[in-house]
Amino acid sequence: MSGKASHKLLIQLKNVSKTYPGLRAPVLREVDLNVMAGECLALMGPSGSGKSTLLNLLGAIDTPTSGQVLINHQAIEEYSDAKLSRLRRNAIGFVFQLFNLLPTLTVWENVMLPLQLKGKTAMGLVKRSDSMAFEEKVEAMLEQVQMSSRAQAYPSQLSGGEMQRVAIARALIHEPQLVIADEPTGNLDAENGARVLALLTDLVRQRGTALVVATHSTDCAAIANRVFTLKNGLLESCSGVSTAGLSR
Amino acid sequence: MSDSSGKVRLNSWTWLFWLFGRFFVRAWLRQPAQTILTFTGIALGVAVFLAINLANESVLQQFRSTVDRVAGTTSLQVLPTNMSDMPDSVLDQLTWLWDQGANFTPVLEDMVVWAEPPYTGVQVLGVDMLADSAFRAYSIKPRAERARSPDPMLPGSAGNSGNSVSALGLFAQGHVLVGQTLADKYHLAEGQSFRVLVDDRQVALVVEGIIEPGRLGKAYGGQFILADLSVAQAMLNRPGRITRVDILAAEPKVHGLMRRFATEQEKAGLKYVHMQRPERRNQQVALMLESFQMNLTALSFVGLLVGMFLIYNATSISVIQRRSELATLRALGFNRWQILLMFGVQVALFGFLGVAMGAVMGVLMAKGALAAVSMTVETVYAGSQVSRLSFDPSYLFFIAAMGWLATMAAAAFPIAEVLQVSPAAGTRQGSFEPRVNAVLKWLGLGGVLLGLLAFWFALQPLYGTVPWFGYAAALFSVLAAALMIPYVLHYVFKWLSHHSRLVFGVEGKLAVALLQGALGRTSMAVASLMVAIAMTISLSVMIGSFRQTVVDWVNQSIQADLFIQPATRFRSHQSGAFSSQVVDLIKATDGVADVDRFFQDKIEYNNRPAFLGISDMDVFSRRGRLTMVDEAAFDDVMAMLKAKPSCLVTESFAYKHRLHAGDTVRLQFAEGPLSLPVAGVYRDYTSEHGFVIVPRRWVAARYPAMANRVTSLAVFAQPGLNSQQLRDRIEANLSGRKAMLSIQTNQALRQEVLTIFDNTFAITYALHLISIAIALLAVANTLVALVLDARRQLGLIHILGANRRQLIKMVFVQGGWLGLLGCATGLAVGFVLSALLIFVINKQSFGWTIHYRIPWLFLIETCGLVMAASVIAALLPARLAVKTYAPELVRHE
Repeated sequence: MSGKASHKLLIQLKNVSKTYPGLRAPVLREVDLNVMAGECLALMGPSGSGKSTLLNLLGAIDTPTSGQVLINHQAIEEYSDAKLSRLRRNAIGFVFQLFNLLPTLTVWENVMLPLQLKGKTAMGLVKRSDSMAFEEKVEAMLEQVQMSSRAQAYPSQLSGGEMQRVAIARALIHEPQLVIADEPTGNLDAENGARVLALLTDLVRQRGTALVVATHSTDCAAIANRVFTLKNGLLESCSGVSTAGLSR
Repeated sequence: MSDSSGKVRLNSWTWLFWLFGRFFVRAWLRQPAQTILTFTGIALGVAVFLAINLANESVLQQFRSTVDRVAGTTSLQVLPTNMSDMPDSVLDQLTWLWDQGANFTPVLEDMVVWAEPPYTGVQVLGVDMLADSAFRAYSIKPRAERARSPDPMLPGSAGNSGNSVSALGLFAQGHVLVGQTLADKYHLAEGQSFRVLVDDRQVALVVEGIIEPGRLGKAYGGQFILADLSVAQAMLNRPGRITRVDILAAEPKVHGLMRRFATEQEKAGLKYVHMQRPERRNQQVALMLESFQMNLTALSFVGLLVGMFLIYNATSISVIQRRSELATLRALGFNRWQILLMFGVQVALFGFLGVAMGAVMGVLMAKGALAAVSMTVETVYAGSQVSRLSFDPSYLFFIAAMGWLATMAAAAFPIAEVLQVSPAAGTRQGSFEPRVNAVLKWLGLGGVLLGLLAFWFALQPLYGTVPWFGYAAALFSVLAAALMIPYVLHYVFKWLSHHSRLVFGVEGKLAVALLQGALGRTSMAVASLMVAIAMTISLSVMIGSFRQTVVDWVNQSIQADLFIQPATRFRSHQSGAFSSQVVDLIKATDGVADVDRFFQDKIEYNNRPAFLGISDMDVFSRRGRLTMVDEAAFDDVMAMLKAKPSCLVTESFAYKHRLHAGDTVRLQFAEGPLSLPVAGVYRDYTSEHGFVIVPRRWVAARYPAMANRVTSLAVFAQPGLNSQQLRDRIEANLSGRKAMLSIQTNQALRQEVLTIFDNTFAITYALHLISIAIALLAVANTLVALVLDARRQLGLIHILGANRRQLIKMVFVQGGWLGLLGCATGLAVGFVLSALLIFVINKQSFGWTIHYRIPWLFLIETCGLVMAASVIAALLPARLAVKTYAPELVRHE
């Protein structure tokens, strides 16, 4: 992949460990990782190795048991819930393995949602001028993911590949700096998986968006600037060298 | 808001509505069964609550309205302390009022009975027609054929309009004005004569004019007779008697007059009267009905409480089912308060719509409730029927707002759960269940602590007039049981898991496994059913026990062969007495062995309503079989009553006034005071306000005139003569007067007592059937939620080989188990509540001792009905279950 990675540091994980209540062994152990703007990282590893946990930490939807997740040089544990929500709504997009489209919203409405969240004022309202621009953006995005013809369909009326294309559109519509994709092709057949992957990488490349993707697929990993594997909670680079201490 | 492409164009104000509509309203529409069940449950709960409160309010409103209309501009009233009447000579003692710039006028109020079937009561208001215009305003319907020039000499012409009656006509004996409703009901026109029953005689009256509806014309629902005082006194056979004096004074002078009255009263020795504001009569009516209405209101809370369980359940289900979506919203950038706000608005809107529908249903149901409440009030308490639903709209709003707040309060806890939804939850798959399993022991412990608190409340004595501690004990018992249910069910399901398989095969085992896997919502459904069943069981035990106690009491107390009273004394109408000739005629009838003469009148004792009874104790002690609280003391008590001035009091009177044998009862009659020691306390279920029974001889010794009054007779037949034969002989002897008397045989009176009893509690049964209906909605709701939540599992089970019939069987088995568990827990809690009702709440409200009996047959019927209904409630979810095997449900597995 010919990434346009700048050298701006987006997120930094310092000595991060994560243990879930009720489990003795940590899911992540002393992980250090830097995510730079515009780069593409792939996380590989067997099921239960901690890939999703690491993505949750990078996506600011979970907090570490020890260590620090730094965004703009500030640890996310110091962020309030409102500030974290603001961060997610402005700077991060998510693509889930199970798509997680809202079933009561149409395709068009699902894609529109992040824009409305981002564009609303402090009073929770959307300016009319913004609203018009949002609509044009959604139409353009649906065009890009080839879902214009299904704009008024509900998620339950879509195939798996279509749902994931909508999820990608939703993740990118608000132009985040980072997209987190958790096994985006995991629920798709080979053909659909390849199409979705190509779409995702094209879109993030066009926008200069950083992408962190957890995957079992070597095809998927091939698109990355850097590939890491997780084994027993330890993060290793694709060369098999532990990344612990690399960022220091 | 949609453009031609069907896409939503948003402006600044539609964003929130847009998202809310798509996230919630669409979800409601997608699951119409759940929506309708929840909505109907809330509406029914609120409707029951509203109906009872509106019916109660209507009764009080009508009393208040009548008291206010009859009081007119009156600022003070002088009334007899015995709540009956007083000599009009009291007016001579009030002339000092003129010096204070106040005016006063006498009033005589009483009830007569229409002389033809159905013998309904008609209120009579006797006023001084020449002086009354300043006090009460009314219009007399103009008579077409008469000249309309008002006669300046006509009574009331200054303040009253449209008078076209003859001035002199109103003072002619038997000439009266009648209310419009009465005139319409009996097709009365001016100049027409009609007959009413007064005491044991018929009185002929002539319609002098018809009072138009409005102002005084609306008093007593328009069913009244207005006459000059002298005409009324003659008609009612109460010469020289009045029931009150109305006083008109400038407002700033009122307190000064009340103080002066105390001084003048002391000077004149007017101990048998008191002065009060007219509003106090409203308070007295409210006080009289307090316990009855309080108990009904408490019952109406049951519907609301079950409705609250339902909305708790529905909101929990909604949070659980949408947890993954909420997590996705959180991941997309919603903060937890925005999610909370959205859910809060959802519940508020749902509650609002439910309450609005409940309000409409409630007003409709209130008409039915009013008929039942009004009948009891007329029969047992106040002798005035309320046929029209009337309430202040703000009261409807207030009650509806309470219902809405209750739904919000019920949803508060599950809504707060959304704060706990982490954005990371969206990345995981699976069904979410409240963390009940993690806090099982704490819930159980909380239940035990609340149970102990309930026990402590139950031991508290009565403070004031309302048994608040008793109600608190009942409420905490229910909450304690509800908290303990998850803990109990956890172990019950473990046991059932094996046994359900033995009975229902693999479907039985899977059904229990699904229930166990959703312990939180299963517990809520069982708790809803438990509350409704517990209340029904407890009330049926209480009513059954009460009824049996009354049956025993009736069998023991009603010994005479015939009971005779003036026809005017029916239901709770307390007007009318025998003339001595009629008593003599009955006594002299061949075949009469003994006659016990009884006099009954309303009194006020320690500012509370009560009854005075004067009895021929000789017959009573020979023939009567009173149930004494201290049963062994019967002979001693009778001996004491015979030997020295003393009285008997009923259990409820003794309880309310904290009296025991040996204490002194101080009575105040118009004729003077009478203080008597209490010889004994006996059980009586005639009135919750209680009786003081004084032997006639001790009244005669002090006030001979009083001792001649007789309002009812208990007649004993000579051996060999049955009740019917004796009745025939007496009726033959009375000849023309028999229509004026009500003669009941022993059996008929016993039957009437039980009929009144059953009518009084009819509304209670209706209320609880509705509560059970609401609880069954909760069961259906839970089953629908279980099926929706278990769709993937059901799909898998289907793919693994289960056929549609087996899926349906699973859901029906679930419904059956829920019903059975609801019945079992409901029975257990029901017995606790029934003990609280009988030994705490009822005792403290009415002062009656009720012997605990269990109506097993009714309990078996109720549980059978609930079980059957629970299985029927599974119909809808079962239909859903067979639709859930579609392959798309498992395509993501």
